[in-house]
Amino acid sequence: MTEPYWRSPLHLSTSVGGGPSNNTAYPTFGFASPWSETPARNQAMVTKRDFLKIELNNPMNALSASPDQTRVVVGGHQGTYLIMLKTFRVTEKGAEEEMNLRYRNNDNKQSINDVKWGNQHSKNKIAAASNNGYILLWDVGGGRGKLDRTIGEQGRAINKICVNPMQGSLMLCALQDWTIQMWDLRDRGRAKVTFHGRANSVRDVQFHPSNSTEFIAAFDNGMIQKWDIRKPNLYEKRLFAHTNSALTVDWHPDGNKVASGGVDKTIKIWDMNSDDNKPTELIPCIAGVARVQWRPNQVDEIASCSFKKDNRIFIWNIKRPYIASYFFDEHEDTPTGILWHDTHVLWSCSKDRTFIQQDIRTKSHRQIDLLNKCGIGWNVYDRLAFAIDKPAVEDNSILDDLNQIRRSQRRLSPGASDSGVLEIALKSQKYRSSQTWKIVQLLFSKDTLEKTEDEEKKLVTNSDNSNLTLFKNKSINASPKISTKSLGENNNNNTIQNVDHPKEKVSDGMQEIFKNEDSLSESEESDEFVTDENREKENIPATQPPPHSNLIKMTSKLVQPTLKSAVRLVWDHEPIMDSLLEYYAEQGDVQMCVTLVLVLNEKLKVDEDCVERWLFSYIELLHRFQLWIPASAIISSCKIPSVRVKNQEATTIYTTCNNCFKPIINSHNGFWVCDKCQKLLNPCSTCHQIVKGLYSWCQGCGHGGHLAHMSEWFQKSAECPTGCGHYCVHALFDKEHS
Amino acid sequence: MSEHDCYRILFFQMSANIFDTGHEDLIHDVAFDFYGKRLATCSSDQRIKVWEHNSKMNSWETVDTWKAHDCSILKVTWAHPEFGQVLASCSFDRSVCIWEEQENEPRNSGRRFVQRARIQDSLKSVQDIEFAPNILGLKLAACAADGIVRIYEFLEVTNLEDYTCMDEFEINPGSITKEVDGHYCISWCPSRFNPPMMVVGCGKEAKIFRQDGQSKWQAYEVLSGHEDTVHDVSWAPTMGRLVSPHYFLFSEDQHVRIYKITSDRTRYLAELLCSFRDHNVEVWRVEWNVTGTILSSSGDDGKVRLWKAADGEWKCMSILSYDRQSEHSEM
Repeated sequence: MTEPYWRSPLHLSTSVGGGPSNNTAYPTFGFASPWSETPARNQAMVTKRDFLKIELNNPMNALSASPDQTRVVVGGHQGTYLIMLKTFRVTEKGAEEEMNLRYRNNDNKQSINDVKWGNQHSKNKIAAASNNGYILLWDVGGGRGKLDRTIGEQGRAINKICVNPMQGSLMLCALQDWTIQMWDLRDRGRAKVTFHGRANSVRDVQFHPSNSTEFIAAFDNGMIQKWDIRKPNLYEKRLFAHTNSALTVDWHPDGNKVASGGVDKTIKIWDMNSDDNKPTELIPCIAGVARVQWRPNQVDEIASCSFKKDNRIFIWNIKRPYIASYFFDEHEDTPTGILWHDTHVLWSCSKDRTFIQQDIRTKSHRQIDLLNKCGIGWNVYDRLAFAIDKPAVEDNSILDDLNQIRRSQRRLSPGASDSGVLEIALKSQKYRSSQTWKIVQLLFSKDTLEKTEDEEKKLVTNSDNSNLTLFKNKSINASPKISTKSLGENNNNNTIQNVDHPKEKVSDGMQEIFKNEDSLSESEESDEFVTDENREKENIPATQPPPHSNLIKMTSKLVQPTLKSAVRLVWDHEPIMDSLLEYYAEQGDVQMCVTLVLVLNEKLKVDEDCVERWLFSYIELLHRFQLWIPASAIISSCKIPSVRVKNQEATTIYTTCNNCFKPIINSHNGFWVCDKCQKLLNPCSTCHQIVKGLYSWCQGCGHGGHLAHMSEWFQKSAECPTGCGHYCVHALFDKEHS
Repeated sequence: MSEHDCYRILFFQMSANIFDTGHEDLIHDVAFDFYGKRLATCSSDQRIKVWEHNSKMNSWETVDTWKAHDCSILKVTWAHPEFGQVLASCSFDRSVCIWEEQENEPRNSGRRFVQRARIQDSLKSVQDIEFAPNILGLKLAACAADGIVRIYEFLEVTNLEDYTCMDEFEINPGSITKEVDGHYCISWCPSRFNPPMMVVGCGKEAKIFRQDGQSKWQAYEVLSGHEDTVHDVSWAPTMGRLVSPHYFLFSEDQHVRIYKITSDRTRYLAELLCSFRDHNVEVWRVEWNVTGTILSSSGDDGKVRLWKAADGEWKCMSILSYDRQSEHSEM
């Protein structure tokens, strides 16, 4: 199977694993370009590097590699009086400690902020910047390290140092005191040049990878500045890059782009050749960005780590800013230094006292693999929404399906107990439901004899009910059958009559429900449904042919015995009804269950808990359809107390004070006074007292009070007593006359 | 219902409605609200969009779009409307946010949904959230990659800033998990007649958690038999079914499995009903319809499969996909 498209960054052709062939893309130069591969190094790139974790004794603050990328130095501090650097020789097999450089000093607050390995002339030098303004220079030539000298002066902390990749003797220091100093390591004197950024503390500084005269600096106020060392008076370009401190900058190896990261949780990519002061790309990160470094040989990829909260090292593709391409999750504390050894191997040191070598091919994780790429949602109208992606287009879309699959479970099916329902069910192509109702009719039709009288009365009274025609049919249909059957059933009549009274109430409620449901189904199904139905009719002319054989088989099983037993006195309908209800319950058709239960009421002996569950589910369904009236009709027509209380408890009216609009809570003052603003709520407009009992008010302006006071006032005046200018009496008068 | 309708669907062209969301990266979740009139989408572009259906135009219109998190938003979910228009979202940035609609703010102003709470208890990304059934009040369960499920309760609906972490339990006690190793998902049992329960998918198994006598959450039943990570679990709506048959389901690598949970007074039994490998790719999400009769699953192949029980046997009844060439859905 081909790799899914979302693995690769959106609409982007990356040169993953480009390796040596990509070398030409970059100018080759000394130390700062680990991607200038020697043949031996290419070999190393092909073989995967083992994961390597070296436990150190102290939290580490920075790391740097020797120009030939075989050795690495990490810097930290031990205790309060000892600055220490450790160098390792890292080979394919592992790493061995080479030197342990220590510096004991008397300043107990001193620590290492940055460490850099020199190159070219200074390739045997290691510079370590401390937070009290000194740079310690070690000479590591000949396999032994000794402190060469200390440069700088007591002052504010040095945040970062950078060695010029073309001229190893030039070194830049980013100082906390708003300046950048340049030193020449051959010269044992003072700082060669001082650049005044006039911005804020300098957080990071870096030479251009191929132009030895340019460098870039990041400042605490979010600015980044580009300088030319030949013009120490003013920066060449400045960018207001971040809304908070800019902590790190990194030149792209191509020399045109600069990446900057800041406390404002963003990495921004700048084109240094354009005059535009907007970033070309912006990568939002989870936490503030402490370090960024471009991945060698991968034009668009950049590694970053944060200074707190997050221990992961992310590798982003700038073309896909939202999802990191890879991340490493090996450190147990925040990483403080990251460095690409080659295209795939990343070195890092961390506050968790470790130095780690990790290979992107073995140890990295893809964020995309952890993300769910599919979203689906169902709604009550059987719409299914799912997210789809169009890799060719930038936007994602949602496919929103209106499907009719579950129409059978729609509201449509029920009706009152007998053939009325049957017809509705038939009409709506609910053959199974109609069969059910037919069975119910057969089973319980003895009752309908009595019912018909009641219902005919109802016909007269509620002539506007749309369902009535159906009911009429029902009575007509039902009565002949009943007349044949009712011969032997007289002895049952007494009990049935008793039952009929509550039942009538129910069917009243039910009629309303069905009316609503009919209208619902009409609106819901809309014209599509009609066309479906038509099509259906064309395909299947009669309702009986083969497609339904299953149903018929099933129902005939039920129907036949009932027909045979039609002459018997006692119907054994309980098991049938039980299996029927069970079937519908299993299907999730709570509507059918609830209707059966409500219509047949006490003639059915169903477990009350079960009915309660059906009712709650059905009521929730009706609520989902926003059918409040049918829902409350159901609630009030059922007999289960826990359901009935729903209608009594579920209404909440939130009141707010009309002065301060804060909610009114029933306090010791009752509801008369607002606790927040200590004012009376709706006092009488004339006497300014609380109105208890009858409150009469003008509907025009909303002011009012005690009825006696109001009538007294309006005998004298037509205007509102509050002086709002409204002519309340006229309004009253007009209303009466119109 | 059923067989007949199942066949019929094959004759009908589905009417699919496709709309561009304007999200700039992958959409990770879509969620309908209780009434099905609104849709919330969340994406890797750190934004949540809320859509409302315009029935006249039969189109979806944005209510608002806003930047909600600092990283990919993994899930978005609506609270029951009795608590107001409240959304919860969780993200890779390790936080859970609660959003509430402000009716008086204009649409598409970016201010219509205000952040009521930002819960940052987890040290790893929060992978799944779900509101408890409304009968339990406004409670939110969140499970994070650190292997801990946290249950938050919002005591006052008018003051969503005020939340407390009611419960916190480890899914696999004693094991420390890394971001990438832990993949957890969660689903509440929707039944109001059972004690609160939830199923948590953790690695290669899923566990049913309930409260014990001291109201501590304990894993009681373990559903095992998975070869790979469980990606999603979804408890079917009970629809008044007895306490016993809750179906529920999960998907894992390439498989969709449906379990039937039955109870005999003291404990619950999980019975594997069926297991499908139709997708043949990783399955990421499973979702039941409102009545719990149809199951939809979607996987890496970009297709949605619908599953339905016909005569007690679960079958794939249709495959929905979006055909890019012909610009309409194929059956």
